[in-house]
Amino acid sequence: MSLTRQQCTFFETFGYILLPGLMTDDIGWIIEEHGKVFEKKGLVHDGSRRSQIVPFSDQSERLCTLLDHPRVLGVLKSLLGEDFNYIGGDGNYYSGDTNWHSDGFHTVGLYAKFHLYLDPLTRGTGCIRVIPGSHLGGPWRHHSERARQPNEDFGIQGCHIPCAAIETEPGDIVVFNHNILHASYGGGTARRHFCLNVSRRAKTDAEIEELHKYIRRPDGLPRYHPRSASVHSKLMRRTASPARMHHLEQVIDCENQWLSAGLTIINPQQCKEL
Amino acid sequence: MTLTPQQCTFFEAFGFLILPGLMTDDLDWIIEEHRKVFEKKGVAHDGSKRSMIVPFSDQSERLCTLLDHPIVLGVLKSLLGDDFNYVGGDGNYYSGDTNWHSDGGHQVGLFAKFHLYLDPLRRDTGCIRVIPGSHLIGAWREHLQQTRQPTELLGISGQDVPCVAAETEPGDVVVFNHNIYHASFGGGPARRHMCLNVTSRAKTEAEVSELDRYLRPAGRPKHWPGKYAPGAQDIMRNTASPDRYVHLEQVIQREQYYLNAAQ
Repeated sequence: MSLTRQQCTFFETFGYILLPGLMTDDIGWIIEEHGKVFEKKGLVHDGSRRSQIVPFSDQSERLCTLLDHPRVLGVLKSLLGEDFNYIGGDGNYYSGDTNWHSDGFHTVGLYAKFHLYLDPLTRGTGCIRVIPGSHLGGPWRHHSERARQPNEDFGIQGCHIPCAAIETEPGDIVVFNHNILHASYGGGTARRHFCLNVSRRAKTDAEIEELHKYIRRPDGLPRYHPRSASVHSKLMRRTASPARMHHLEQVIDCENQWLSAGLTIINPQQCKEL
Repeated sequence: MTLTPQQCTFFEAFGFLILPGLMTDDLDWIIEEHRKVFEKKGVAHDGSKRSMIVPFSDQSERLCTLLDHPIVLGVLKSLLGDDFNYVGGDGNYYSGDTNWHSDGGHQVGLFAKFHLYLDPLRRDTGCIRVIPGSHLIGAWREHLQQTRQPTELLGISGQDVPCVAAETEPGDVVVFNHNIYHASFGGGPARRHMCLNVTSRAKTEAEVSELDRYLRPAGRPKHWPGKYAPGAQDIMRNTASPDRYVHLEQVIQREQYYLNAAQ
């Protein structure tokens, strides 16, 4: 399975794509595994605020196999290349509104999120909203950044910012560019979700540096520290076929470079390894 | 009446602004005048395709007074400056879909349309749809050229292009930047509309050139022969107060410039 050229162009143009029903056949076990991961981590969601686990898929051997799933691979390879990187992901019970923000602004490379929303969501009940085109640099990005302060700059609430509301049913997939401005309004207190973060294989010096900056914080600690020493779990790597390892290897290589350079300053006791 | 700074910032950022109920108190006579202009021009709309008259407001002494109306002036002055130009406008009975396009790609100056949709319109019954930010020159706008061929290039129909649907009731006003990509889908065969085209006063050489290009596409006046036709009356100018004249004078100056150059 692969995306059409037009679907890829849509994603490049608007910064996101909705794939209705892509994972409907698998949604039963996916939802079950989502619940099991939270149970395994002892994280009880009380609805008062967001509950998040990182990395997420990596916590479940079965969820790790999403990186072997032909449909998932078909989508990600179409958008990011045959040799895309898996760079971790989070799982959530969302609660309430999420105001306008982006998950980064990469000026080199391509970073994206493959989202699974496990509850039916509509515009007024917390579906993801995006500002199409905001993933691109230039004047539109500059102007649309003001959505972060909608009252001050536009005299309106965040929920009234012009946008595309991506309504979903469980089994639908949303992929968006990390750069895109997104938000969610009106949602309930226990909206289930998880995602796979992915990137195009870094090939140039600038892209490699960008990848390093993604998986390692400015303070030198791993992105998910202290929850994890890596964006991958040992489980993800240990259970990886050669084909899956292809999507893990560049991150592993980056981490090995830090070790070789003596850059890893983590006290293993400080990190919860999986 | 003036717009707030935030409303102006919204317009600058997104390229459009919806002003609910702005002209509700004047709606009845506006609708009546719309009908009368079509009657006067002998254009009988049969619904098979769009019927358009240009210029439009200029054909009715009463519609000309929209350029004296404090609410209209308040909006246009807030967005384009106290010395904005009125550069004509069209009146329509729309029929069916209008595919994605923009009314210009001006890189200097500010060109806008003040729209009155005279029937209730929803997303799937022909309201105006816009792509926010598409008025800005840059990468986003360049990508959006693909919406002109949505099926071939994006694999979707025009009505599925991500956009904002500006649903309106009669009396609402929509102002948009000429550069913005817009369309309409699902509408019936007789949707009444009129607009005023306006620009910021051209102050630099580049802005004056841009204004000239707008007023004289293909080297002769827009909507030729229009008011240049034998027997044509220039109601807009003949009935203009000094205040209204401020919004007509630059266009008149530019027309005079070209008339002098031709002699």
